Amino acid sequence: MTTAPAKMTNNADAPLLAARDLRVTYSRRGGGTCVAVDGVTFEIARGETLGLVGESGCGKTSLGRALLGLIPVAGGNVTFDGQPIEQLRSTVLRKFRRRAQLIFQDAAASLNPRMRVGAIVADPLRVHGMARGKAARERVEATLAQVGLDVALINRYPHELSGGERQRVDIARALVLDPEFLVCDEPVSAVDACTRVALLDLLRSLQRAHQRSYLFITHDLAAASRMCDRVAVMQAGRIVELGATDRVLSNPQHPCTRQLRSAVPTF
Amino acid sequence: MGADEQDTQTVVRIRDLRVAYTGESGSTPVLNGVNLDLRAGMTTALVGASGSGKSTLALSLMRLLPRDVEVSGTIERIWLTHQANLLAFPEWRLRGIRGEEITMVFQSPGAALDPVMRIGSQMREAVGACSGYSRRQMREIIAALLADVELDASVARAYAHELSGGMQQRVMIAMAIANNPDLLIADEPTSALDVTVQSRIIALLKRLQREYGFSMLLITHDIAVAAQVADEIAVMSQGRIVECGARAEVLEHPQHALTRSLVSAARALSLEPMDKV
Ligand SMILES: Nc1ncnc2c1ncn2[C@@H]1O[C@H](COP(=O)(O)OP(=O)(O)OP(=O)(O)O)[C@@H](O)[C@H]1O
Ligand SMILES: Nc1ncnc2c1ncn2[C@@H]1O[C@H](COP(=O)(O)OP(=O)(O)O)[C@@H](O)[C@H]1O
Ligand SMILES: [Mg+2]
Ligand SMILES: [Mg+2]
Repeated sequence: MTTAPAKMTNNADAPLLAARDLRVTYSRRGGGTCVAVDGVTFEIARGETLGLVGESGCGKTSLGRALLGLIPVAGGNVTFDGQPIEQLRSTVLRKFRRRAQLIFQDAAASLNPRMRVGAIVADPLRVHGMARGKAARERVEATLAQVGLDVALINRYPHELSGGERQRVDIARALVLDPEFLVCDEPVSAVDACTRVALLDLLRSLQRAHQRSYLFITHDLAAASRMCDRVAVMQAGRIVELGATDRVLSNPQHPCTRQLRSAVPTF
Repeated sequence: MGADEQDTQTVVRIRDLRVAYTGESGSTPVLNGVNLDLRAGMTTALVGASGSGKSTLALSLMRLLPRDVEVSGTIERIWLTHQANLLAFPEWRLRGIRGEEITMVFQSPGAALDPVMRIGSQMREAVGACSGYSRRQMREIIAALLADVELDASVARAYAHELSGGMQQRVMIAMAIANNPDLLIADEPTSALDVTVQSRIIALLKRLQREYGFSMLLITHDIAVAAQVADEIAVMSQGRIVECGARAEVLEHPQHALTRSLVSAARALSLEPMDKV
């Protein structure tokens, strides 16, 4: 063991992210624990989108947050670019925070209500010393334009936006750092079909252009089929099926997958 | 109810409704002359681009707009016996209307639930302070409402942050149906739910609507959901209703360019039915 700070390796063949036997538990009031993630193992390659689908409450959000080290894990581990994330300290941890971002499921609850849109999107740039002043402002405006928001919204507070606008501010906040790994937790659930197609295509094209990796959490199998290389199906904290998207959607093996698949509304 | 002559009866008539938000950054017109009729016992789906003013229309009906707004036009509430303009109602007369006659399920359940109150206490408030139920009856009512939305009775003791997004939205729906409303406004009620729960919730709303006869204004980004449950579809663009008609008519012969692009984007994002793959 060396005492020098661990370096991030950049081995192109190794998976960017790997979870081993990961467990997340919450303690229930009045004793007992709720097991939200119950021994989950998978890898995400560079340039890959892994879909995560399953009924609400099955543990998708908890898993996504645990991958980013945002909630404590009760067992197992996560490695990012070869490094166990729980051992990351100081500058390497800061770098990880910059390289891995989250688009929140509930944008309304995740945006700071006292900050204006411009400051919310610029904040990660400031925190990580990426850009200041005019450069930061230009980056913020370009990112807002990418997600289809009018630059005039820069001076609004979150409560002065529509639901879909808030969701897109949250996407812009995550994209402004151009992260290598992005957990997208139901990222387009609050926008209309046209905006949804545009945002999914944006995420897909950014990924293709820069070899980004995504964990794409959704209950929308149609969105998953458009976005994901592979899909994992989660039920009660476990992954019950994992495979190539086309195979999982056209020939679902697990009853849980079949149930999700047959409930997709068509018209 | 004599369905034949009654189902075209209008319960809410919105005419030339204009709303502008007047913050420090000047006045932002959001609704630019909305005309819309909601009919007894029917479901009207309101669709449209993000930011077009759908939630603002819902808040106008609830009289829950923020303070810095300019409002003009009329929202006529037509009871069997009389009729009145909601926008002219004083605050004290709105209480009964908000709680019992018009209720609403919001777009973001996480923001609508109180983080420091147990779910059961919030539901008790929704069922009604003046209801005169005993504690035991109240517990039973709350358990029954939770069962209606497929949640365990123990959820009553939980706090909002302990529930997943889907469970939170089911609690919101339970509270909205608690008082047997005349008009239920649902703003994206299922966008946080997975597809299986989504179809069960929609089926539940439809069953309750059949039993109690309330009208429903369903704001949704999901044209497939509108296609499943709506009697009428209204399409909003930049603060105006640009198209409104019977569901099949609007979906099969969309007149407005926006409707056409929403329908085709929704088709591009849909999957083949399971029996065809
Ligand atoms: N308090 C406010 N102050 C200023 N502008 C506001 C305020 N609330 C909403 N707006 C603006 O009004 C417009 C309509 O908002 P509204 O929430 O009604 O849209 P919506 O149709 O519900 O959109 P979505 O589908 O994204 O939820 C948006 O452009 C929004 O930015
Ligand atoms: N902060 C928390 N405290 C206690 N229980 C929680 C907390 N967050 C989530 N849970 C529970 O963990 C389970 C999984 O939740 P979540 O990860 O949000 O699921 P999903 O994203 O798949 O809907 C649920 O049973 C939920 O009630
Ligand atoms: Mg979730
Ligand atoms: Mg809205």
